[in-house]
Amino acid sequence: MIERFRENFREEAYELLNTLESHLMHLEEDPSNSEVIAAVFRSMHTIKGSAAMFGFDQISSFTHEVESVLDLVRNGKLSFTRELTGLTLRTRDHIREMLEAGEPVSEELDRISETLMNEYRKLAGTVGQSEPKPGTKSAAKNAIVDEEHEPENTFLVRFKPNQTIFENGTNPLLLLNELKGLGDFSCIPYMDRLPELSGLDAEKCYVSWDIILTTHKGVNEIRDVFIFLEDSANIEIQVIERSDLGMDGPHKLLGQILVERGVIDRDRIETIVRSQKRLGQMLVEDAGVNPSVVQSALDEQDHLERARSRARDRVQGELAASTIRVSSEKLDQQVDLVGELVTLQARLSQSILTLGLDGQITAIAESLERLTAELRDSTMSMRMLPIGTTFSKFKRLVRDLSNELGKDIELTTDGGETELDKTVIERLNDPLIHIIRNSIDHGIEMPEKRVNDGKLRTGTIRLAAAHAGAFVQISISDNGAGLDIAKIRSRAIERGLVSKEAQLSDDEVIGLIFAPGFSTADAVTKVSGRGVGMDVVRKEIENLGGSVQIQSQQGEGMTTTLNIPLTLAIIEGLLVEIGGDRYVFPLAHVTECVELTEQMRGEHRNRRMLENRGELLPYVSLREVFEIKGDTPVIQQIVVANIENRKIGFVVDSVIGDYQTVIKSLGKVYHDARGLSGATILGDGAVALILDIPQLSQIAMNDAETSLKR
Amino acid sequence: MSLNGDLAIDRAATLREEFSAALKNAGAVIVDMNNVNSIDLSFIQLLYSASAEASRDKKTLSLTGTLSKDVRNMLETGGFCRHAPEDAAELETVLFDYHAVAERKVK
Repeated sequence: MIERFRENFREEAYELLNTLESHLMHLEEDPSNSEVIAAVFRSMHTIKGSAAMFGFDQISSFTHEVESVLDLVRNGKLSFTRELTGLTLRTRDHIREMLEAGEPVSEELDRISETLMNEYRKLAGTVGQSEPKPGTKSAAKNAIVDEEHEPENTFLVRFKPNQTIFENGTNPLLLLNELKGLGDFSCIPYMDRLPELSGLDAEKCYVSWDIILTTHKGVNEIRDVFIFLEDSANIEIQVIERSDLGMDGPHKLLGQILVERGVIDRDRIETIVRSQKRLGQMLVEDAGVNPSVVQSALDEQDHLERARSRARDRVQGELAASTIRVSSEKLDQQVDLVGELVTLQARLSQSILTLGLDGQITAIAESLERLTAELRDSTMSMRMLPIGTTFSKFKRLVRDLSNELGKDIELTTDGGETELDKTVIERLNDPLIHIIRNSIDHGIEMPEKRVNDGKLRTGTIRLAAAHAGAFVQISISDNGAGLDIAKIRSRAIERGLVSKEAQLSDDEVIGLIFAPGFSTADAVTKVSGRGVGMDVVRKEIENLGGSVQIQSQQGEGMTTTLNIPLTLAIIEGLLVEIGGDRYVFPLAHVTECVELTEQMRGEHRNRRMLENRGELLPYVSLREVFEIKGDTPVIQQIVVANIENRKIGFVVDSVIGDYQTVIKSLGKVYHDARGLSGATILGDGAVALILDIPQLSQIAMNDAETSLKR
Repeated sequence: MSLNGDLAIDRAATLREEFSAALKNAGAVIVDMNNVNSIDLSFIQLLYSASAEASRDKKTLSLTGTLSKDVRNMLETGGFCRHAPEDAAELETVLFDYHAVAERKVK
């Protein structure tokens, strides 16, 4: 059991560390943002507290010391310099390592803790803060109870200073001010002892107060405020409402408060209540109660109401923000089930059609269809995450790498709220890192060169995400040097990727950087240039059903655009038929459909080329690729697909229409099936295979080459 | 009466004399708070006390000028008014309302 709690703690701590990181990045831009500073402090504080609770003592005592430095920042005694931000970022990484290593912490990690602590002490030392005493280590465990989670109590403090209180230099108003700092505070002064001017000794104190204070603090802390005048004032403190005892009961009525305070007895109040006037007014007029006493009681009532509504707001706030942790496996399972349901529902609708049923059953089927669609959408939305969650990681990447390379680079982000399927976001991570690294290493120039070129010293990398139909468009642009077309060309010739004589447009040359192992870097740097680059990026993106485009302007920078489908679980497809079986083309790749007649085939003497929109369109027959036997229909259809800006036609028997479908994996047994990426179940219960267009075009290309060589 | 600076306990006795003299010599006393930096409890007491005496003698004591932030803070902290206005004339009604309540009790 405790192991499970520890696991939960770890997960939570990782999340907190990520938040911490993004807050720190924020502080680097805006070091004085007090809200963010407070958030940083809170993250550290929470990690400290829960670490101690789950027995990660070394993490707890380490974070405790970090926290005490952050506290100085929070109180404005120290500011978030670049140095401190950097140190805290390293601290964050270190805590992560400690979490991963588990307790007991190795000597090496302990040494790092010590080094980091010393740096903190040095920073803190500049504000004259004494070094944390050795005792603080054990203090960490005692300090874990988060003050804000202590229940709030409401106190009535009766403060009656002696007349001579001014003589020893006490200023009662300052004491009240101090109390004000403890929580929600209201007070009412009593001046019935105050004489008129002629009888007034201006150097004596005639005022006394009833103070109502709602605070997390205890009686002792309140008493501490008055510690220096125990003899020169009369102080009574009592609890009048405890928030931990529930808030369900009715408010205290005015009369009840007065009876409790012993100002008046219950009988007297009841007699007066019967006369049906406002109680406060009656008490003053008929019972001879001091009006300021009534005022004070009214204030108390008011105060309690405020305290309660605050507590209620808090409870509601917690409810509103409540989330449940669900493992992503469960979500995947849910998506699967919903997929089955969608299929089953489609079968039901179709059966009703074929059986020619109508009336009530049709109405039921239609309602079911609507509900299923809603269920599908809501299930999909559960898996959606804003892409911004990964953006802060890239900020860190840019910061660290540019420091290492001595470059001055700023990362700006846009559209972080754009939502994408969780799996897609995870799989986008590596490609994005590749692209950003390339921009840092090859794109943005050294600061001196930038200045010489008349550019701003600081280079910018912009990471933006936006919705575009069923796709999310992510673009990574930099204002660096752009691609060196001539260099790419010569490198490609060196590598034998193109012949010397080939006439290539700029776009075609840019396309060459997607070739496996291509790199123009003269030396392999630590950052990039190992030659595992853009080809891997493109492969990953295509595996996601997306595409990559690059635009580059020499001397002005480049933009890489990724088009990513919103979700992996559902695709928009084009349903086609070949030899009685059905197949699905992902619609994202399809540009158009054209007819293929016997006559057209003859015209090109079976050279598998077709004139389409003024261009020659190569095509392959899927019948041949999949070795499907049977007669070919007289008129076939060609589905034209666009792969990496090249068009290729796939011949099928007939096109049925577009079809939204839930993707099922083919399973391990068929993982090496060529040209297929998955399967789906159709409305009538039949299976349709989903075509892997990029792979199919590759196959077609190779076949064409071998046939040419023959 | 024009007051200035920090009206603290060390000036309380002198101020009391000034208030007494002013109330004795005139039917209406206007206290200009414009140049007052800060006040403490002794001054607030004095003000209340003077106001009570003025109303007993059918004279008026009124305030004018803009109140400094310190002055308003002190009035709020002491619970003399919940939200102290900037304009001293407005404060006057707040304070005197309260005063009127206290007055009624004296009767």
